[in-house]
Amino acid sequence: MTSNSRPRYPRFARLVCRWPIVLAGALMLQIGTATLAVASTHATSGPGLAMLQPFGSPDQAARDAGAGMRGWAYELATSGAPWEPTPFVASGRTLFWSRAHFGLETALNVSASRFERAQEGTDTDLALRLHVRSNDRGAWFGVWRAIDRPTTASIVPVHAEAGAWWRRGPVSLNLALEQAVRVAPSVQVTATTDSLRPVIVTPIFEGRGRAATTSRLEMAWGRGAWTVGVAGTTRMTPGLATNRWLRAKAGVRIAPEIWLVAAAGSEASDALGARAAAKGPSLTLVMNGIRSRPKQERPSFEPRLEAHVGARNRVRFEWRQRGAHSVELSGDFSGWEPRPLECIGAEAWRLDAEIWRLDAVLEPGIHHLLIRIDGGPWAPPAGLPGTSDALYGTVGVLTIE
Amino acid sequence: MRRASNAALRTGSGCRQLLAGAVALLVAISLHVVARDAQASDARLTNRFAPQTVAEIERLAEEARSLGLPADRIVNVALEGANRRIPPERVIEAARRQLASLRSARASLGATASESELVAAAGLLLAGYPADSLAALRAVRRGKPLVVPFVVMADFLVRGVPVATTHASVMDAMRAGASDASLMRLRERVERDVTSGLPPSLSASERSRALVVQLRTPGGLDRSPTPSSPTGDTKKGRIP
Repeated sequence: MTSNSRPRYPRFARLVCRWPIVLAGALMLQIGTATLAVASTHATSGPGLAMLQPFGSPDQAARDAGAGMRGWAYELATSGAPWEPTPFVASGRTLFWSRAHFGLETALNVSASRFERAQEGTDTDLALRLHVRSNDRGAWFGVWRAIDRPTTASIVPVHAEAGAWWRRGPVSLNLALEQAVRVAPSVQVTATTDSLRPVIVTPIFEGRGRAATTSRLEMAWGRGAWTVGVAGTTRMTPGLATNRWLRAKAGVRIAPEIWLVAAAGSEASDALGARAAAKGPSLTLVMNGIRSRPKQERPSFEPRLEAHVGARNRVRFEWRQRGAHSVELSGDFSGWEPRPLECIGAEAWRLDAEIWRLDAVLEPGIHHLLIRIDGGPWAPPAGLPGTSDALYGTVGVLTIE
Repeated sequence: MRRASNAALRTGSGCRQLLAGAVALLVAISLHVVARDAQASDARLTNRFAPQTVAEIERLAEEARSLGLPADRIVNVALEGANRRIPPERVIEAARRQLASLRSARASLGATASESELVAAAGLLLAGYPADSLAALRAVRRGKPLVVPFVVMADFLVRGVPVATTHASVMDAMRAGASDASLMRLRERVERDVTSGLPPSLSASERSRALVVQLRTPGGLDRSPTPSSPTGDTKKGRIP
């Protein structure tokens, strides 16, 4: 009789034991990153923010994770620096795509801030955004407001924002505009340091209307597990000088849905003045992905080449794959010269893979083909029959009748 | 004089002269286009290989042309070799092997074989299929094109299905009356099985057996030349 000395725990017990370990690990990581500054997400945030979110947005993460577009996408980011004006930031975003082209995003940003405070406190911002997208480009607009801060000299509670993003191959571009709007007159704020001596904070601005306009342009390049980018921010405040910030960031994927982003440079804060929320190097941990996707929507996806023969021997090659940066076809139809396929984005109702396309004219008969992904080795394309050629290799076969 | 020439133009001989001139012009243009194409073909080789390599490849292509074999296949092998950065001596060797396989395919299939059949059969022979078995396939499918069976068998061989299993699988399906579309679906299923880790031999034999059973079952036949879907699955032809 054999006996197993290792006790077998039920799955529930294993899960219960695992979470404290995960939380402890996160706490240790938080302490570790506390030596570096934080990248603020206050000023403007939206899809295509490749600076903080290497995949740009939850929907981008969903595409790269191979998920469908409908459903909830999420993103969590955390970092901290005790000596910076914003010593700790935690942000969470969820984005629900009800249809392939429309999405509704809610974002919650909690930060410990020393701005405009006699003592440290916690600031909470809530954002609501509407997204419209078409394949590799999109636009969004929304509002965000501080929900636990009073209107003071430089903090305005409501911000309207709009932006557009564009992505082609490994390059992504994001432009965002933010307008701070004063919806109510400023009020005097009393902050109490002790029970006997109240400290009065006197507002400077009065009245309603526009307060400051912030524009932000981000460019990023990403391939595989790496991404780099730069973000420039300009803020024009009535009665004050125009301020500019520049921040460069680089990220690496350390786990399937977890990124580590290092940044250097200055970043605008949510305050209206020239203060920067981050000035030095920073390290941010980003986790993003998609949840609540029905299991039946997960496609058993395998890249394959499809050849659609049209009139006058016109053949449209289509290759579907996730995360490819370049696809080339070579064959006797091109004299074995590599022909790059054009990425035309994803289908409207099946955004789990990008389509690469090439139109060519092929004479009737048998054609031999090879395909190359991201500059790798030439290989027979999946989906086509293979055959041996005289060079002791295997090539794909396409028959045009 | 001018009046006389106008009169000549109106006559039938003038029209014939004009027609002959137009035909001569068309022939000249066609010859020029053909010559230009031939030069372009040469240019593709001369840009990639040394003159002696080009000369040898052109000699092999000319030999194929004289035997009624598709000579562009020889040139394409050379271009493929250049694309794969294969040394010239290996390219020449490959071109010779391609010519030999085309010649062997012609000998097995006879003079009536089409160019596509020859190319597909040459690929099959290069994949390791014995030349003397090609004639057996011709006997089973007399009068019908053999391009698809050849393509399917070559695909089986390059995926690791043994020659004997490949031969038996496709021959059984063809004897049961499998159409080209059915054979292509059979290939797609074997491809999926092999990709998912099933042994190639087992996949080919089992899939072929299931296809034969379906073809021989009344009401479950799939002899219609329905084009296969991108995934190769149709409700009618799905193998459980």
